[in-house]
Amino acid sequence: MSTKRVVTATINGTDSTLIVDDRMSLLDALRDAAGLTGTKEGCLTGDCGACSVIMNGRLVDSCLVMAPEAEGAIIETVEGLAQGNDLHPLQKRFLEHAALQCGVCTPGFLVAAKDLLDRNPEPTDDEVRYWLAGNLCRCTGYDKILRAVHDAAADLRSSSR
Amino acid sequence: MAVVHVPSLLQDLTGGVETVEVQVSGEGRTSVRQVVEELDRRFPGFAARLLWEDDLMPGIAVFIDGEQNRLGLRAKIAGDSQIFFIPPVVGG
Amino acid sequence: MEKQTPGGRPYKVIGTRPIRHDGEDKVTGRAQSGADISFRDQLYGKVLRSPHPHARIVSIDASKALAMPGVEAVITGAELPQPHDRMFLSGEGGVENFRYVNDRVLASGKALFEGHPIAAVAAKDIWTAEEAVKAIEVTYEVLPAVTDVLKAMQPDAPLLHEEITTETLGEKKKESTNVCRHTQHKRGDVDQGFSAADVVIEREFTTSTVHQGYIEPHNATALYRSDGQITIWTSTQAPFWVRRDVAELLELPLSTIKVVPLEIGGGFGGKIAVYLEPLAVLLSKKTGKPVKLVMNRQEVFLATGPASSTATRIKIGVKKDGTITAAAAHLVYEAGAFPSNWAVMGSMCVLAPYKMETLLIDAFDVLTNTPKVMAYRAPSSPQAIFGVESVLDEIALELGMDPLELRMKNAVEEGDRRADGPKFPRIGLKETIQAAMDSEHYKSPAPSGPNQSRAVAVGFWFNAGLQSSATVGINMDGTASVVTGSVDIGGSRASMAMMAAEALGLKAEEVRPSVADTDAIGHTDVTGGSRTTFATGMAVYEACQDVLGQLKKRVATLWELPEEEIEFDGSAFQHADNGKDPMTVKELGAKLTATGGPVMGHSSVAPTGVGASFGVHIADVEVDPETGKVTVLRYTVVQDVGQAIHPSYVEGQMQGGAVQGIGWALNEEYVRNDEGKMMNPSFLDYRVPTMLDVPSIETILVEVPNPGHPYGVRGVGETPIVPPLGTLHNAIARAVGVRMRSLPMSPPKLSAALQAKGLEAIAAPTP
Ligand code: FES
Ligand code: FES
Repeated sequence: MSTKRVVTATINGTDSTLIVDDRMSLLDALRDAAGLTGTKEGCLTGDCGACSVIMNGRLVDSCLVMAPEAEGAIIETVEGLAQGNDLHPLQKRFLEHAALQCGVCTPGFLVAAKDLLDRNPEPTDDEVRYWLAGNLCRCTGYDKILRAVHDAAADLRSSSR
Repeated sequence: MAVVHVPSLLQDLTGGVETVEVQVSGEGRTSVRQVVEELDRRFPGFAARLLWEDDLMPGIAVFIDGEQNRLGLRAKIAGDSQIFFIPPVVGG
Repeated sequence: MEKQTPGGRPYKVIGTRPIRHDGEDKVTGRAQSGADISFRDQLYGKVLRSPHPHARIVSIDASKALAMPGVEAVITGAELPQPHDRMFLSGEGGVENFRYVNDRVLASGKALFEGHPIAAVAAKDIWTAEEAVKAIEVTYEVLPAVTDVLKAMQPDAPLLHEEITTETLGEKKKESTNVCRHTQHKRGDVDQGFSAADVVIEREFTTSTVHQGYIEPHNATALYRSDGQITIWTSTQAPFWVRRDVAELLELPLSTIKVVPLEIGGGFGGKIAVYLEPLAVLLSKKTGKPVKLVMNRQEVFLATGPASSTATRIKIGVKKDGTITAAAAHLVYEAGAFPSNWAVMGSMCVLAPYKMETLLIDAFDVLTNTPKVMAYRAPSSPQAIFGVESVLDEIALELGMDPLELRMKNAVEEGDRRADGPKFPRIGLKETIQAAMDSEHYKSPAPSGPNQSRAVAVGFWFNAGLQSSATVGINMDGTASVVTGSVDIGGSRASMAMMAAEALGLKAEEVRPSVADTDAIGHTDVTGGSRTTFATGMAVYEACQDVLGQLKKRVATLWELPEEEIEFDGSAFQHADNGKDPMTVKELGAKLTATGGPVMGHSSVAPTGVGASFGVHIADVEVDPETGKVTVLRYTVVQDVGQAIHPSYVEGQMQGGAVQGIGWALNEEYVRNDEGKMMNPSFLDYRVPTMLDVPSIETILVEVPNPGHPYGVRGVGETPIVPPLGTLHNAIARAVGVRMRSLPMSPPKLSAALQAKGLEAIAAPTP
């Protein structure tokens, strides 16, 4: 039988109270309970990265986290990347480079890339490829994504200087 | 003379002949239907293999000079037309 | 008139790289795909699927499921209208019979593949729906299954459909068989052609079943209202075909159905057919509530797509100078559980790139206990051309000839006949081969370390035309809106807006493109067949011409001059000699009300003039002889793209297609056990390439404008998946001296082949 519970978490900087079912994953909770459908579902087995979010500073596949585990957590999703109408450099560079075709993988890539750049402001090609290897894109062949991440990294470095 | 390229699986009817010339009456007045009828007179059974309910067999389209013509049997041919019966293409 | 508008002016918008109009929504997470919508009172659907690849359904008892609290409806095949014979055009070019669509959507009588839908449930939440599916009791009589195409052709193979006999153009054989169709193309006397050759090579090849692998699983939500009006929200490549298919299957008037296409997370041909849509409609009809169904990844692998496994035999004869004198192809394609036309398509592609006096192609579509094969990017072309490109590579080595020179010598050009008959219009294969020869990649020294090499292969796709509709409205500020019925799967809104901007003398940002539902625009066929930029682009162009014709009248009114004396020069309306300042579309916007009211143009097209597309790929590889792992060191895609509207998205198509082809060549396959069950239905075990697996794909755009389109457009998206199979195969062969002739060339298979060959071969490769 279903058990409902209240989960409070900070989602994209806002304190949120969600009513979740015990059987829900964090992905379901974000999409169905919080209405944040930017985080996508591709596999539910942790193999595609479409559901990537940052939870307590760690990149996770939200399909593998149960919703109750999010109690008290700080969660960042794709919806939190832009500051109001000011797009994050990653978002701008993805658009400029045409680093998306269908766009279903894009939220996951953006979140994973943000996590990378938070840790490593000047990643090498190999470091980007390694970090983003958990995110599948079937449309682009990855080259434009790689370039967009490098350019965004440069933007962030110059703006933080 | 217009030229009909006989689909290879119908060449049993034409005795292995790959192309057949057909007389075209007036420019733009002969239809593919008339061509098929003419071929059926010369090679009995031809129409039965190519037509289905008064239309081309599903999965067969008429190509005239390299272009699919959606009018099918109603398409008009010219004196020097090259006519093919092959499947239409869609894709992924 | 290369690189110019039909009026002979240089392009202003076409060939630039504006930000796509729908981009912001896609990077902020606001874009809504089918799985993202929900309704307050919606129910969740779940499909019960056959665990057996082949079984008779003896009985279905849903009473326990129906008794569960929260379960609102269960449907089975018995509730679909009786299947009937009716042919229709599907993604595969040829036609399909609705009888079998009906049976595929919900089984009747027999389960024909693992994952075949047996029943569907609607319940208050997904967990209840899942429990209810488990509570349905089905008694199966398990039958022997056949999943291998060659085995399925044997006379003693288990039969899928008793009523099916081999069809050979208008003739049906008498005996029941799994070979549902035989296709043939013939030119001249092929035996004579081979006797005239100095070198003849004949080889056999196999490829495995692969999946389109789009990241977004299938979804559908439907609402059946009490007045009989139906709305379907879904992520599809072909909303108008979804409407047709649902109407046909459920015997409903077409006009009662509205299909709202939501954003689509990839398709590649795999999101053309209906799977969930008819079930959602039936469940909604029973419950009066919106019903939403979303597949999981396992369901996607088991019950959608895939592309055919194949067994082919290719024989090519050449003169000493490399001229092809004859070619023969014997092609066997997996159809899946229902009749398909994939071998038909393969037969039309296999020898298309080359000239020859004599040829013979025989192709067979074969039923197997596997999901019905669906279109996958240039459907059937990769498997067919793979063998040809491998044989040509061997011939080049035998003749001591440069492999591109061999291709150049035999390449088709305008006026040459395609292997299946019709003549090619203006095509750019020779230009593409030349561009590959001239490329920095090909001119650079080939990698020469141990187990390294370079190779090439050619690819081809016809591209499609079909039908499209568009409207163009001029806003009161002189900007424009463009509405089409073509789902935007990879940036087509931007290219539509750019073509309209070019035509109207506006900037790309001054045109707002959108995709309409089936009630809001004229019939438009599938986003597929690389036809959208070509055909829907043509509709947009024509609608703009309609607008310009109307605007000219307005200018004539304003200037009080005869319409005939006014010209639109691509930027503004002009009058030759009366000193009027030119007037742009932008300026006219505000003057529409005073000159007769709003202006809107529309167009529906079924264009001819489709331009085929050819590509040449170059790969440098290194093989690890221990593990059999192949590293792609460098990879270049050279392709005739007609005129690139938005070059970034053209490059993206080339890169994405190449990477799918690389996956097909090196890793992807359906692994099945002895019972015919798929052992790897997850992204963990079905390995599509990740960012670590492929280098940055380099692109060279060759622009040979298609004379059949006002802006020279030819389809781009499909061709790039074709050459990687042959390219990587040949590169591996040249690197380690082993011709695998069997895909995928996965590490275990390759290392086993290398071991069999012995270690000397690795030390001194003689391919
Ligand atoms: S949906 Fe979570 S990793 Fe694929
Ligand atoms: S853009 Fe479609 S999956 Fe990445």
